[in-house]
Amino acid sequence: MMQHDLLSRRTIGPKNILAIMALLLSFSLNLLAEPFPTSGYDFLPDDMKEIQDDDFLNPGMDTVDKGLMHFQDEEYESSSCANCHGDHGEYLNREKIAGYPRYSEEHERVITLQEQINLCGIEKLDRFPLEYDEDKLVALETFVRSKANGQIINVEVSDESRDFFELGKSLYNRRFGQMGMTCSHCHVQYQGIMLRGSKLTQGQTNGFPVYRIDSRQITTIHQRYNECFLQLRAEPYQRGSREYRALEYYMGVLSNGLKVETPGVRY
Amino acid sequence: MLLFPGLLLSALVIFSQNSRAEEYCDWQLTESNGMPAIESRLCDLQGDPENGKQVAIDRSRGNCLACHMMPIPEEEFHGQVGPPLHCLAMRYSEGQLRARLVEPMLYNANTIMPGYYRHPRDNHRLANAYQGKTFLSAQELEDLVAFVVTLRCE
Ligand code: HEC
Ligand code: HEC
Repeated sequence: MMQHDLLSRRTIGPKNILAIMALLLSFSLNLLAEPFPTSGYDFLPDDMKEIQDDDFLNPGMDTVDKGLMHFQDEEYESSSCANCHGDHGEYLNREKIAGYPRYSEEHERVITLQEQINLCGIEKLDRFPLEYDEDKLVALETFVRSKANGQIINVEVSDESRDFFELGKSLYNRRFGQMGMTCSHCHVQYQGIMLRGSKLTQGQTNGFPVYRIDSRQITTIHQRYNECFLQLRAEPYQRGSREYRALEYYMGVLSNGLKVETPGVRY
Repeated sequence: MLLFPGLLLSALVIFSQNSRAEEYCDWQLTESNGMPAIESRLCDLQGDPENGKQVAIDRSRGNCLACHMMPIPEEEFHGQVGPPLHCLAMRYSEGQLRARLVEPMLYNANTIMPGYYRHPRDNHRLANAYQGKTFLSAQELEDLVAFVVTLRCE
């Protein structure tokens, strides 16, 4: 008796017909697909693009301003991020910021921008470490990353970081939850296609943290992962978890060549 | 007077959905014209096409419209991820359609389409709220089958 055991399932039916169908399907999809990589920005209507492009209209700029405030916060012996990196972050290295998550020789692992800010703070300032994704850290991340606005993303993979990259890649291609879909289903295979009311984008991370019109909030990339997991009826991982950081790393590589556009504006 | 039994019924439905998972109705896979098929109705349940149509529309149940165009013009926003389903029953038998809805991976191992009666143990990292549950109940699945077999274009 053949049962619902997918692993022992044999392929049934005229394989050639199925193969031709699959070929036609993938062919037509390739014709529709946007070139890789394409920013979520390019899928937006013009009025949304205008909001993102205008610092006075972009509501995400509030978070950038808050971040700048924390950046200049003085504490014990009047030290602050600004002490080392310039009053408005003018000594920050834009190219390096556009390369996060990046492998750290010192820590012998890949670190995200939030982790880097925290590590800096732990070494030199009193009020650290901050909890992953907590408001203050998100504001700092948004400010710092916005400094690299327009910079081309350049996330590198080396021998030392290969395993972490592979972890992210396997998560990206894993079926999750009751929906049993993978990230790549929606954001690679069916990008550009309407899923009921919304157009699927490549799910690129170059605008993060983004301001969301729907929730009227700044949203971090790990928060956005949670939302996609929820849609899949899957148990999310923790924000800041190894799994989410690995996904962020893998997806950083997917967005190589795009420009940083923090804070992006999205639905 | 008519309202009251309706309320009672919906309360019962919510009760049965939230408090315990139903027992899984096993099914047997066969072939029909060289394609996977499940010929017998799940747990021998009788489907209701009207209810099946609602399941297809409902965003928290079938939500077929997320991905497919269907002959349901009164609903907006039909998705384009999968093929239109207008003349389905002219291409597939009832048993084939049941198999396709229970487990689309039987037809295409890489499909994005969810398995509407996949065994809960075959899901990875199922959210706690859905532990032990199938996407649709066996009754909803049979309702859906009863609806899609009416999609002919004569
Ligand atoms: C059922 C389809 C679906 C699946 C599967 C899915 N997503 Fe999404 N995702 C969406 C939709 C819809 C949006 C909002 C529109 C858009 O940006 O594509 C979105 C948006 C995103 C965004 C924001 C993009 C931006 O520019 O703001 C990211 C990042 C993302 N998804 C990551 C993921 C990851 C990681 C996974 C796998 C765990 C995943 N998605 C799985 C449907 C999906
Ligand atoms: C997330 C996307 C998605 C959802 C939701 C979805 N489908 Fe599909 N469906 C597809 C895709 C894609 C195909 C094309 C073949 C494949 O990939 O399996 C398909 C194929 C089919 C087919 C075969 C059609 C043909 O012409 O060969 C049927 C029947 C079908 N779907 C019925 C349904 C019904 C009924 C529902 C809702 C209960 C549903 N689908 C929900 C994506 C979806």
